[in-house]
Amino acid sequence: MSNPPVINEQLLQEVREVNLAYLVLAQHMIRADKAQALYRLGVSEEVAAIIDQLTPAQLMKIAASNQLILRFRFDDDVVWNLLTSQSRAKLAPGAAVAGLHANIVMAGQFAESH
Amino acid sequence: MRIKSIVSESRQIQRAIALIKLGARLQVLESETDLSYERLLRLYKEVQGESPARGMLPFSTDWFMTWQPNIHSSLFLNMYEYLNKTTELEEIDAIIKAYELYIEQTRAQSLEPLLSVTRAWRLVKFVDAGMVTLTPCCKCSGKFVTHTYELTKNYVCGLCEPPARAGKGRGSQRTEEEVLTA
Repeated sequence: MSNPPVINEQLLQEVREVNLAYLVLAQHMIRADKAQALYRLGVSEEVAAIIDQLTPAQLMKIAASNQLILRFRFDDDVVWNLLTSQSRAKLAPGAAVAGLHANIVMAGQFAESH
Repeated sequence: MRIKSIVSESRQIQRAIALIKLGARLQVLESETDLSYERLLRLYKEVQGESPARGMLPFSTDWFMTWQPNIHSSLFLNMYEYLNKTTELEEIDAIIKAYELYIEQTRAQSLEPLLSVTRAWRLVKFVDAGMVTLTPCCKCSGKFVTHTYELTKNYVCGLCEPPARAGKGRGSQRTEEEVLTA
């Protein structure tokens, strides 16, 4: 398929929608409660301040991209294993608190990221 | 203590209301605001529609070290530290916001929140006093509540190596105030 470049319109549109939804949600969270938004989003105060100030036109412009503007906030095996409940096997099936393990590890990861 | 500024008084009332709604005991309100006991009592009755519970607050650090409470406490304290490090909040506001996040997260996992806001506040005071701290688990690197002067070099958390009976006890299906000490 080398001749006419195939542009995957559908895919581009989906990326744009995810970007826009994320930005709108982020802005909404930051305006509702900035401190909690920083925790939920995992972004720095500076980034939050920028997102807060974006106009609708700017949001649209940033969203229109072939790249997603957000990415995973963890990239270590530990968190992935915990999220996919590998560790739960060790506990009796009833141990509901095991689900909090990933949350604890993730909540402890902040300063390292910036 | 007499309050000079009306703005500051209104902020304190807002704070007290937030704490009452989260279920805080009166002692927490007395310690965190300059409002008089009588006004706090009236406020409490107005918000909750009933008189506050009486009696002493739990004062021991031991509860935070038992298996399930330790997991809940660790989650809250990590959230609290997160807010503390990323934003400039007054301590009590950070406690309120972190506690709200904690409640959300336990709800999301359909768990009963084992940690009350009064206990959460107590925990932060224990940290301030240097009696309790967060120690990283050498296996999962998650930080967990421990006594400050415990030997923590090769600390392994209660989730990486659960005690033998963990999760098998009556009530751990959903949670209760069970205390599963190994």
